[in-house]
Amino acid sequence: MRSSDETELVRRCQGGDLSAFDELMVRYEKKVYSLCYRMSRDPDDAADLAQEAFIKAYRALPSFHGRSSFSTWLFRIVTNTCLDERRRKASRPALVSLDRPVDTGEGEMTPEVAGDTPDPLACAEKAEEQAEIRALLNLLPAEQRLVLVMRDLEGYSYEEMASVLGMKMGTVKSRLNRARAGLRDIYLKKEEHLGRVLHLKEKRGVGL
Amino acid sequence: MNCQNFRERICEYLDGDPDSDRAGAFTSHLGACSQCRSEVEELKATLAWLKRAKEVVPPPDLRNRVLARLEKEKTPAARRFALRLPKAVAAAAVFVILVTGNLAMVRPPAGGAGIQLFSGERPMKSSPMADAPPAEERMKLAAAPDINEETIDTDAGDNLAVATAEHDYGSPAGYEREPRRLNALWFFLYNLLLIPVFVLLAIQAARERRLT
Repeated sequence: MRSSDETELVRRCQGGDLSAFDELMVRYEKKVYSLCYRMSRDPDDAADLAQEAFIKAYRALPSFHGRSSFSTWLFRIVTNTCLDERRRKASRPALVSLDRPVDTGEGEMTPEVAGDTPDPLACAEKAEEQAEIRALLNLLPAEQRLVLVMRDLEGYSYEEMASVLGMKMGTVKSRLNRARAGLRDIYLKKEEHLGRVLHLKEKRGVGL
Repeated sequence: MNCQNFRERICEYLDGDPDSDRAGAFTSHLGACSQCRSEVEELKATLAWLKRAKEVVPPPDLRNRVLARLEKEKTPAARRFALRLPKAVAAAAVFVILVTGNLAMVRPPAGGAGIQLFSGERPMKSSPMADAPPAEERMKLAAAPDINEETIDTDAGDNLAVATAEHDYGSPAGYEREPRRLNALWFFLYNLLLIPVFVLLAIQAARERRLT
């Protein structure tokens, strides 16, 4: 049912109907933005990426023939947009500040945190944790970060990832393994640094 | 299952492989291998930490920003349409210029000569001028067929205001006269230049129309 009226919406978009495209955006903006958010450095970047991806999608719609589902096609554009952006910015040092997301003008971090608990210290800690997750994710190579985000934060299945990313399942899995191992190394290093590594600590060579 | 195998499939293990046969192999390997066990522990802890990342909500103006930009982008599309329109219009304009230009050149200033000629058969065939007919022919080819017909019609019969104009246009009347020699050259060049322009514009207009 959903796919058939989505087909109709797509057809209307192809005819230049922006209100139909708006409806498609209503359906997908959360997932699109979320993925962009996980792939970017800050909420501003994320909003730019999501905007860019939607615009690219709209422009490319005339060449969408329904060979894959619309959402697969859309997220192919979104992931490519994210990867391109990361590559473009790769030359720049990965400056991740732990406190930046807190003072976002977008109101993503602040309201969530404020709404959760009245305790300002707890707020700050939570915000810090969120920023930390983001910062460590940012240390992974873009391709690895992408599969990790898609699988472990956005909940894509292997099949969906394979078709969105245009890779074989085996490639998806091995890349995911590498990404998880990479994040594990980063995470453990951080924990070690903070003196928080307890039972997990086990000295052995872990290749990044 | 050995360690290598296990490591290759560790993501499936962590994600809960639906294949129960393999699930059994996973657990039996884990029971036997402490290295893989700690690897799994570490990965689980990492993923648990990662999953504390909160859901995010898109900024409320995201869609509007996209729509605003797409709206703006529509202008080029509109302009493209506008560009297409003038192509048909330009073709028509060139045609009008072609016809009026020819009329101005061919119509004898004194008025009498041209009419005289028309009392005979079709002037085109009988024209003594060597270079006039090709230009004429081409013009007829380029021009819409109805005009061609109109010319023939009026050649045959007698005429309304429009028809007279077509007469003039269709006839190389003035060429017989000495001062018209120069005109003949202009006539030829004029048509040589404008007819291809017209044909090109007309083709482009037609093609674009087909595309839309």
